[in-house]
Amino acid sequence: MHGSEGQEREAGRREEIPLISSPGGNVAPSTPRRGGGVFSPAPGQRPPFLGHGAGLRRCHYPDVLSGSVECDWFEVITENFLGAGGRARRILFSIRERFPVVLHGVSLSIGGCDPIRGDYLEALRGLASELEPPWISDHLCFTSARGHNSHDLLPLPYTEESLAHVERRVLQVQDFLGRAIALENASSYVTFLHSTLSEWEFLAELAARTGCGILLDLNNLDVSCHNHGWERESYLQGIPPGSVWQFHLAGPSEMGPLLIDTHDHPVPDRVWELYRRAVRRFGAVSSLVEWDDKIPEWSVLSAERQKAARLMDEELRRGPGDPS
Amino acid sequence: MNLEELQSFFLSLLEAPEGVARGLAGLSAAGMPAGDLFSAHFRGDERLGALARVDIYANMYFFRLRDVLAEDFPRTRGVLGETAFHNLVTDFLVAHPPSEPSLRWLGRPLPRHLESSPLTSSLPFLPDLARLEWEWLDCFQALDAPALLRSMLAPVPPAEWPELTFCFRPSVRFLSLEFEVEAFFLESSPPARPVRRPHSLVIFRGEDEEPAFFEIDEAARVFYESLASGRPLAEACSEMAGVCEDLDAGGEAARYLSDAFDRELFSPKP
Repeated sequence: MHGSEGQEREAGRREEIPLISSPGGNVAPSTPRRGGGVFSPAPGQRPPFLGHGAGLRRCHYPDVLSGSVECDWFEVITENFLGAGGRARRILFSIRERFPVVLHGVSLSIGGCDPIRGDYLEALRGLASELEPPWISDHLCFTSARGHNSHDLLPLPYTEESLAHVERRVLQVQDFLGRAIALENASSYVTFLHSTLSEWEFLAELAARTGCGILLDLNNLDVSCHNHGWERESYLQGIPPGSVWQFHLAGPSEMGPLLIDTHDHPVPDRVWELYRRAVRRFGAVSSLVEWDDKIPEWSVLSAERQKAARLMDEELRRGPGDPS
Repeated sequence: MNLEELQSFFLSLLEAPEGVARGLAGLSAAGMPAGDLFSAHFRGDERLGALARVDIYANMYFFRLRDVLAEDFPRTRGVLGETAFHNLVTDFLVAHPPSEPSLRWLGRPLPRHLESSPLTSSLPFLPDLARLEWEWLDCFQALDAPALLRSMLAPVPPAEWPELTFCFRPSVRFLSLEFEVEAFFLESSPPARPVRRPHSLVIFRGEDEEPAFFEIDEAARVFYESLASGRPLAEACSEMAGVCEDLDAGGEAARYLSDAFDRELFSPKP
């Protein structure tokens, strides 16, 4: 069977981008559409506050395109749009004309040992140049090994060795992209006996060394703390305030003694409480409600988003001496 | 183990088709001190042991990929039924572990994998059905390109036409099938079994952004595939004439070109 030229592009190039030992300089912002523009922060600097958004899912396209939804911004899964055309791409850019859209990836494998794929980074850079996302994010994890992609967010041991390894790769990626990225704390179900750092110490030090932002997923924080017996307050207090670029909010599932990061339930009360505490510590940080499976109607998602906005407003109005 | 070895070990356990425990046993049987390495690195607790925790990842790995394949190949799954499809996916992932950053490409090797599957002894049309499902999906998601219109070729002198080469739009697909699987793919109440009838299709993306197809004869297939491989028009005509005797090659080429322009299959060269 012969295909068109499109199929002949499918193999892609695999090459290791040379390691860069220092972060790239700031990139002059492009002419922004609403909420766009490249953000290359100084260490500890946060991107502009976008408000309260939602993960953009296919089933909500009609609602969003109709112009009837109220939402401050959207986040999309990067890999769904790399090298893709047709209706999905057209819809993405239609939405981008009216809303800021952040690119959130799942396959960067920043903690992995396979060379970071040059074709992936080039495609990401190309998409970002067209979409002008306020920032680009992915996860602190590894995804691939031996050229095999697990399509899951697999945990890292938190050691000085792995920290130095991830630091090098973050700097490499940021230099290639010409901008800083944000990394999300992934939910985990197993840890490593030889870890010497806590997850929050690892994230904080990584942000300090590279200037990357932290996408603090409060559901994932809750899941991981539950699963490993960590203290939630220690986690929050261990993250420097200026390093958090974004919050995620979502609802997990219970599986026996553990919580599973399914992102298919409403945000539970304990995560709303974490959100309040996070706002008190980190201030007005762009917040996003994620719902990845058994996705409800837009009105349900919107209600969660509005609740987040109301809770943030309540916490920001509290004075410093207000009791929690 | 260093970090790279640890990650390779971890992924091996996720990829083990019969679960983490059997995966560890398999690695041990191959001479690796897998049990000791596992115990030395992975932490569990009194609520759930390390093996069961890693099993969570293993289950997520398999069922996420199975669900993607089920969504991309719904008819194939329907023909096989849940158990056989589950087993197919198990074998497929062992033979073709995912390697691309996007799940969009996960199912690309599945039609070829089916060609050598024992399933085809009783379901010989299955590879064709999967191939149509894949090409349909790939067409839908293919990159965009503007259409080459007839009017854009008007300035080209007729003498230069034999050396013209054409680009097909990225969404265009040529598909040669042994079985009539189209009805099986499209209709809610398909025939019991597709009949064997070798034929070829062109799949393309219409103005409504939906895939569509039309059947082509052998001469058209040779002609279009020759153009798609980059050969100039005159060579494509010659190739067609060489395969199909007693053919008015020039007349047929003109008709095939006209069909392609009508359906906006070509794009200007980049």
